[in-house]
Amino acid sequence: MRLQAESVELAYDDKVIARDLSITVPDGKISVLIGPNGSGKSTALRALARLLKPNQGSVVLDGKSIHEMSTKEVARRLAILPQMLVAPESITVEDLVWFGRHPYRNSLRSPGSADKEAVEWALDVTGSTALRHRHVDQLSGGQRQRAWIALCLAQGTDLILLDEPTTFLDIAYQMDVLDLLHDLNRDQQKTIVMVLHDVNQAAEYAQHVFVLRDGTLVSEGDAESVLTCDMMRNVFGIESQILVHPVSGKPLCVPVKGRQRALADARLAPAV
Amino acid sequence: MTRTVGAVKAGPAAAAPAAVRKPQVRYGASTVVAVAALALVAVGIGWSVAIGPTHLGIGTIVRSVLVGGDSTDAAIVHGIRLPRVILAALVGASCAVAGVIMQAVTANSLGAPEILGVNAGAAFVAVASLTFATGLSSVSLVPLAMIGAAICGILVMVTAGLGRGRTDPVRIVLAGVTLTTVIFSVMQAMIILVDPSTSSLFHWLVGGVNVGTWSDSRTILPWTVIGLVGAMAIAGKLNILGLGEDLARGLGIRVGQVRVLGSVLVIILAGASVAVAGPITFVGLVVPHIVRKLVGINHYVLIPLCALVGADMLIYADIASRYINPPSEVPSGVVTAFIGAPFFIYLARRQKGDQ
Amino acid sequence: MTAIATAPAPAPAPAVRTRHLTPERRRRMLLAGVGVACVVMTLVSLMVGAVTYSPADVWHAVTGSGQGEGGFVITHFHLPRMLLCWVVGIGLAVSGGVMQGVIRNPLAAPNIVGVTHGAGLAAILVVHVLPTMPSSLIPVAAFAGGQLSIVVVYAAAYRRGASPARLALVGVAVGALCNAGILFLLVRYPLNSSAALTWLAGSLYARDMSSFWQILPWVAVLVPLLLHYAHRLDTLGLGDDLAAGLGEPVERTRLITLFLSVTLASAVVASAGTIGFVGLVAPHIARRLVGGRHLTYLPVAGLVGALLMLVADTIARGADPPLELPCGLITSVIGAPYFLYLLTKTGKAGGR
Repeated sequence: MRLQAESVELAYDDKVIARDLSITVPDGKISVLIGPNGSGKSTALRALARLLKPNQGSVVLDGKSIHEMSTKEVARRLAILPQMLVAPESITVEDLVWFGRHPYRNSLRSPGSADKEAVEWALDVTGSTALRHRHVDQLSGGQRQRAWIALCLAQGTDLILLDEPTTFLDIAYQMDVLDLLHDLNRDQQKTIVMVLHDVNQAAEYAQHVFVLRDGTLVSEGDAESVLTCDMMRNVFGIESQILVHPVSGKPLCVPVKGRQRALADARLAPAV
Repeated sequence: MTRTVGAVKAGPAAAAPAAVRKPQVRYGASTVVAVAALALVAVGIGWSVAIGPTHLGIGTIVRSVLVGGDSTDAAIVHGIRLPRVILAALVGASCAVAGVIMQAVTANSLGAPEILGVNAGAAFVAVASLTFATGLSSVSLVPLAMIGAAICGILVMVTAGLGRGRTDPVRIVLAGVTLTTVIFSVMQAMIILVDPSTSSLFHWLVGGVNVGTWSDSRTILPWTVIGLVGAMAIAGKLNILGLGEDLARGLGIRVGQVRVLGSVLVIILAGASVAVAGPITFVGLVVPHIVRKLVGINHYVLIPLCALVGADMLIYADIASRYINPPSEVPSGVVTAFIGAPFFIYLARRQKGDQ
Repeated sequence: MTAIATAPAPAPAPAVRTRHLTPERRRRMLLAGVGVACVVMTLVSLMVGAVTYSPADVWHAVTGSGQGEGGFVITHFHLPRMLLCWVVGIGLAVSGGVMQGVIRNPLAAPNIVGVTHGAGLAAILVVHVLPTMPSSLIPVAAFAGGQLSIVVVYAAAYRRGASPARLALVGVAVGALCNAGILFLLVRYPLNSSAALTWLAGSLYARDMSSFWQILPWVAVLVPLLLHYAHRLDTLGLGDDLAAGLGEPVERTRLITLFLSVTLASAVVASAGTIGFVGLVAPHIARRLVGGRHLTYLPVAGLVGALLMLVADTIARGADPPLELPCGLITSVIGAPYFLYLLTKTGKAGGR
């Protein structure tokens, strides 16, 4: 396995988010981190991406500790798309995607054919070729997100990490982006790790699910084995029923009662 | 995101309406602080009057104050020392209250009249008036200084996007600083061209209460009172404003109106301060933070205590100014900067990340 | 963050070539205009002084033909000033532009990070506290002061990294502190105050070629060096996380570029005093002309900075001869309205 976190302790300033967390990212699969707010999923992703240094333990990439490698080295093997994305003013899609070649740039030499190919491919795969001269801030939400993903793809890495790539999009664009990532995994064998809020989206698209709560890995595995009523109750605190998606056959979680009502009812009818 | 538990069973009567609690008032803390601040003011006044080229004993002071008389000591007390410290108290109080209002109105803990260029504007107009219309008394200088303060303050606040609700503290600070730089450089040029050796003009670059007179105190007093009273009048609204603009509107506060009122009060207080004492820095920034840490965010308590602590700060800065480099005096504006800037750095370090 | 556009179809705008001025052509014309203005102002700067000479006089003086009037004045007084304007303008503009990229705020400028105040404090300290020292020590002191202040600012702002916001705020505080120190000294030693104030206001009065030679090496070395970092500064503009993800050692690049740009500013300030607004305004104008890519807009900023300096210095000399206004005052007066206009714009567009 190329990327893993080994017994890491993660903290912001003095606040410890995760203790003794170990995550091994399966190669060539789509993995999703799910969990309630404050569970540490974004923190774990950032640690995997070398954006956060663990207080203890280490993150290992291709057998070496990620913090012993330079940012450039890491950038040639791993791409991260953070949640907050701010494009420079009036930048075109093409110029934005060119940033993806930054890890390969040498100030002394101008961009070569390898760079051009990578950019063209990234634009093509995300369906952004027709938009290349448009300004990023004038695109629709889905188009914009695709442009950012193209930037990551231009990096030419097999490992792509995304922090909540669908959170600010409406449902059509969400599926748009997720389908794109699914195709990238299927056709190019890209290893994809993302944080998602929507448990059902995770079930639909993930081949491997990591469930986090309070900074610990509660369970992991494929969607069918991980997504259970018990898990939803223990981790998210809600009662639910797990159905089977009528088309894809993946688990579909349907909340039954909210947190408060579940507690109230449990108090009234403990025998059940 | 979390679903609210819709209590379908019972109507509003079932759930006892949670009493709208005022922001937590730590009554114990505020009384302690108030008493301490008052005590410090008293001690400060005594100390300030005592020290100087001629050291005066407590007995002498008390006698001069109570009995009066024609002795030189009494003259010093009444004519020089007392007016000076009273002025320091008034200016300090005005600056601190201006600062706390500004911070509430801009929802920005880095707010202060000087950071928003208000001081610079007031000083500029004052200098310009003195340069081109010599002989103006300090009384008539006040409304002029206020006009200058108003223009600058409005400029900075509008251009830093105050009208749009969410203001980036860094942008406000940078905007104010840049505007202040322009104004001060023009002022400096004016001073050079007119008469650089006129130390009175110099006074406008540096704030200080060294040569405060009774007439100065008389000049600023009504404005300080107006400012304080006005601040207390909107204290409740300022409290609610602290919840955020949208929520405040939802609770019936006319946000725009409160902002305008608050700004007017800041201009009055800052303008008057600058008119009599020149630009005093950092009092308006530092005092609200300290007081807030001690007594919480209830403006009904915050405002008067800021006035007291502000008075303290300037009184003691003025005292310190006489000890730093005897027998000459360092302008109090410089002392407050030496105290305030490191504190500002400490505040800046606590700023989270960027953008 | 901008609102999501509602355009569904991604059809690109047809590339219709019209006779009218497209924004692109208008920009090119403006750029050409800047270039022409620079040349013109260079000439004018050589002409203007206590006495204004004609272009022919300038030509004769430069070619050393011995004819025409004022040859000596032109070559010994106007020429150094003109050359100084060029290096000061380029130095301040490039420094300011880089700083705006590092601090990620269009309002950043050398004076924001306390450089100018630190340099001023050091210079005035030397003048007053060590009056027996030769005046050639003043630029050295000013340079050291500028460097020291950025060290203090960076150290004070460092907390597991020096974020742009913290740098800006701490810079303001340190600047205020140094300013207080300056004012303290001015009040303490009122006799030299006029000279001190003039230096603070920024003036090229009585500067000769030695000042030019002092600044030139710094500009000649540091500007290309900063341009070398141009595309890395572009990447920093994407945000710390994404930049790190793209392989940019964010903290290190920020530190290096900040120090380089401050060194450049310090060198300029040390020899020419604190001249305001060039470092703030020139990069902005350049960005509006050629866009935000550092490699393209920094050189243009240099040109614009030089132009600003030439204009300001010429006005300073020619407005009321033989009296000379401080050049820094003129740049402030020119810069202020533009700055206000700028604030309104960035306020509306949400800035960067």
